[in-house]
Amino acid sequence: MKKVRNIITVLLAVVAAASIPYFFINQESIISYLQRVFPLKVDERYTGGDISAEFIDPYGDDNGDGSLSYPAYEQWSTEGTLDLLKFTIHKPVTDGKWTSLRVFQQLDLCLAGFSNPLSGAAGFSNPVINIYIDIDGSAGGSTKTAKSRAELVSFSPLAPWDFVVSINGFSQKADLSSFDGSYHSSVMVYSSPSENSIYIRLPLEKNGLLPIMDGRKVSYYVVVGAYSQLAQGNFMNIKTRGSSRLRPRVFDYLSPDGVDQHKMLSSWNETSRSYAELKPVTWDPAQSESNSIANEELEKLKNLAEKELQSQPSKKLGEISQENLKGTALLIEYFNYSYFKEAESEADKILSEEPENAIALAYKGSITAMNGGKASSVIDSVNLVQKAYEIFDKTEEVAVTDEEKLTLYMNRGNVSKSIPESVFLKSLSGAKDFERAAQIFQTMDGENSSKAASALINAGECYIRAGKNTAAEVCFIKASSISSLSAADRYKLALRGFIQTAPSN
Amino acid sequence: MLTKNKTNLIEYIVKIIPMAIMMWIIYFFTIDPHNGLATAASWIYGLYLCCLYALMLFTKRTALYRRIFFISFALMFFPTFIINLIETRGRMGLSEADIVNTETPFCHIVIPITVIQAALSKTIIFPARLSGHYASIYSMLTIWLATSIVLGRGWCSWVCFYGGWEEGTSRLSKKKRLNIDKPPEQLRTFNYAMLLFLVLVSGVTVSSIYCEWFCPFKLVTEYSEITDFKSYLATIIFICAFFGLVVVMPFLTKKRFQCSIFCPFGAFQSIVDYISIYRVSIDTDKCKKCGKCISICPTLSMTEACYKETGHPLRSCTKCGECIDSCQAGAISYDFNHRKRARKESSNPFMILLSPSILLPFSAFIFSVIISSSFAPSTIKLAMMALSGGIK
Amino acid sequence: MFSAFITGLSTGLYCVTTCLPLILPFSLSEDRSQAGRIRSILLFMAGRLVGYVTVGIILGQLGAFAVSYLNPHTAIILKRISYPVAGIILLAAGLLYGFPHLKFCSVYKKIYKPEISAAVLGIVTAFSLCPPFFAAAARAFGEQSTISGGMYFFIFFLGTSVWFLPLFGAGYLNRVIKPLRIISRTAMILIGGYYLIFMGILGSF
Ligand code: SF4
Repeated sequence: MKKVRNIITVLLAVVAAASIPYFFINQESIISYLQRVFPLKVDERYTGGDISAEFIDPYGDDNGDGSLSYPAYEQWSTEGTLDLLKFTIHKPVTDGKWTSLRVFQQLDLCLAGFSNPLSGAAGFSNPVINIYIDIDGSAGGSTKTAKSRAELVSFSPLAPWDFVVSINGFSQKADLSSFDGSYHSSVMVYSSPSENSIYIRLPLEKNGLLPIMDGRKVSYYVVVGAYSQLAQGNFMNIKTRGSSRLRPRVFDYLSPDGVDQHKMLSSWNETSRSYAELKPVTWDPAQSESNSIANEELEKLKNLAEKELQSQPSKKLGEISQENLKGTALLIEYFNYSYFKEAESEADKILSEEPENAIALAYKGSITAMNGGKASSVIDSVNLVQKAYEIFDKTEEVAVTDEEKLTLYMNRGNVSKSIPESVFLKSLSGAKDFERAAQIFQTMDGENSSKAASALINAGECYIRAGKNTAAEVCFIKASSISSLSAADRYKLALRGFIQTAPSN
Repeated sequence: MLTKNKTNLIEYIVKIIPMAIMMWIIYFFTIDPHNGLATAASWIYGLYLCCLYALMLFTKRTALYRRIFFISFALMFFPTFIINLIETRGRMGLSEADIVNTETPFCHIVIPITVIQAALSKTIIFPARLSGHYASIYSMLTIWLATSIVLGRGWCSWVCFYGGWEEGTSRLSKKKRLNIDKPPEQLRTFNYAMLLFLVLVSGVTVSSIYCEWFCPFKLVTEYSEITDFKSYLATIIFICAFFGLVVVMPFLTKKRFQCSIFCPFGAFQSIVDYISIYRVSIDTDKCKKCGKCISICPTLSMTEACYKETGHPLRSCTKCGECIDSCQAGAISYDFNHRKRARKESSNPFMILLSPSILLPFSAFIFSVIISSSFAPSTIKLAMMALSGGIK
Repeated sequence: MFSAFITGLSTGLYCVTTCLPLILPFSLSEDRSQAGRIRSILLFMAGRLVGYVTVGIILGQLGAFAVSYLNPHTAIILKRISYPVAGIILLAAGLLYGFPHLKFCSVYKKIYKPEISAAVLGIVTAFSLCPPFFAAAARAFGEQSTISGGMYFFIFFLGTSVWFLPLFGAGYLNRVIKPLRIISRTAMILIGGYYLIFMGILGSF
């Protein structure tokens, strides 16, 4: 008896010792398994409260009534810095931790682009964002803007605003004030460039926003303009020839469901000299967040995706050789129809004649990494993957044309996405690769926009692997505002809640 | 029967097996094949680790070489850690924006404070990344779990990247200026009280108050920005705690003072130690009752009762091996947990591979290698860069 | 009324976590007999009951039920009052048990009564209300009178008390783990000090 126990102990110890390296190699899969069976979250008192509602605004609508364009200065060269993608409302926090504000409500603003060329203290410098808050329905409040002749809009008389907070990147404290000026308080402004997000924390105080604690409905108008220190209310006036003096200075506006931003922002009236009138989005805390898609719609999308998969052509080896392709074209054909052995020998052939052929190099890299995946011992596969990255590095040096770069980005991205993150830590660079590829696809002609969308989705998935959820969401929102999506991508986006309906035909 | 010499020879040859495996592991986890300087640095570190393990294995002076590793690890940990912080967030200080973004690295000392809440409510009361970061919550939790099963409190001598500080400062002076070899019970159990206090109060405040006020290692990792009187006071406490607990007291007492008396994680590991595989055993018959182990033990884990009655040091033993090295009678050895009496060493030289005195340092050093190799090589690289810059 | 019980039952775990630092070391560190220990736990509970009912009545009087939420700033002030009081009691008790030979303690010992301390601790814990719980109470209970506010809290108290039953096993724990008494005495001093200094005095900055 005692002997058996001893043997078991020794065995246990040996097994434990042997499995330590494997534990570290497979740590990522262990973690993702744990995350599934035992999901944890960081206490909301740190992160700003549980999310109560999310409003998504389309990508690429940062042109106001349809005619505004960014200033031509270099500081404005980053795309999408005025493009609001998501507005998130958190539940109130009554006992904030590790923060100077104990009782607050957090709002998040996610933008399509983020840059800080003028070194704003809060981490961004282009946008000025005004949030008008109505907490008592049609009672009390104002329908005019906080500063006259700033945004050049007016607000719905059904929801006149009671409080306004004006955010810009040059101060970490914004001002929250009531419409009649009787209440003032300061709002914390934080930002996360890597997540494209601005977070603001509104204090909940007596005479201020405290009443929202009782769970009433609250309406928000979110307007984004170009920041200019000198302009009225900091909303830059972009002059174009012949445009009306009543045209709103608002680049992006969070429009409620079923409301067209362009129409709403161009609804000013020249004859009565009245500004465009905006409608708010409404947050109802009693309704839990429902960003999910109806089951039948999802089913439909799934079927479409499966059909698409089945209709994908496949070719026999013989067919390909009959096609009379040569060089890289043949290589690509082999690769696309998964004849990797042939593809590899073709790549080697090209490389022996032309060692700096970027396309052949890129595919060679992918195939090397794949061989790594098939290798029998861990050490071999790690070496092969690392070799693949050396090949990619070389490719990067020689790739010049858009096509070559695209090939590199897609190949390297796909490899980065499929290798274990804990060993190689490549997800982030994979995401960057896919984003660059998407950019190139978008500059190409129409047909490639669906490829851009799938590159963006891949980028998003990489970001999720790297733990950057908001950055991932930005990619998904961008992808979902591309019209010509493939069925598979549509399904993927629907699963994540970024698409609500199946296409009608 | 084999002669003594022959047995020794065979023993040497047999020991090549763990050595080879260890070299493979070091190669696999340490060597960075990418670009010039980093590769060179990783080779230097890899060779250093190989040498240490070889010495540990063949000279049987486990504790000495473990100590060398441990001190160098602590010293090499913080430059890379701090530079990493500066790279990702632009500064060493922790601002409110970083907390909102959950950019705080998750440190193992908060594990006991957060783990009970996490089990009950599935929330972590610490603003760190959940995954996808080297110091994310899940990655630290899994590493902790794995280490605890194998080593239990051995964490504190083989894995912890803070402990080396005290190991170092406690060796600075030859003389013991303040003798706390036989501390009053209140002092010996103080870290358990710390643990109880922190767990209970953190449940009420829903925040890790240890990190808010009492952490002695803020000075060498990150601090929160001084914005008001409270953070000013906290910073003073942090500085005092570091110098008092990590520098002065270990220097005076020649004990790992903070580790054994203050650190709540240490106390927690002592409790977790019940499930670990190894522990240290004392052969009460062989023991000459000289009491040397009491004075040498850096964590106050030896008492007279240990070698007279129980045959084991207290649960707070960190399996550092100092007492084993120093025992003239050879009465102390590594052993498996939950075994009644120290077993006689097997005479079969092949069996020594399966003895705890080989297995424990082997398993423990694998952890040391893997965890240290994500920090140490880049510090060596930094040093090399600084040196070559200096020469220029 | 039943809803109050259910609310109590479901938020009870939270309440226990709030009370544990006060009552657990307190009951663990006592030298006295099992009966004495149980008596102080019961007194602690009675203190909580009194505290809850008082809080319920006061809040009803303040009209907090009518606006259907508890002003979190009021809650913070309530806590700020209760923490230092609890801190002082724990600190005193901890020092008394831990260092009985100190001069200060021998004087203090004469006026110290564990029963009274337990009851005061109980009252004090009732003041650390959490606003989300209050919101639930207010919603369930609405705009009714002050007296029913007190009633609601009484029933709520019964609901939470279920969670306190394991406390009676403290004596057993003490017997199994020998050093627990010393540990919890030290912990009591630490907790008391923390409540008094960090949560009480510094908390008001
Ligand atoms: S008892 Fe021995 S092995 Fe354990 S901590 Fe003390 S000296 Fe180290």
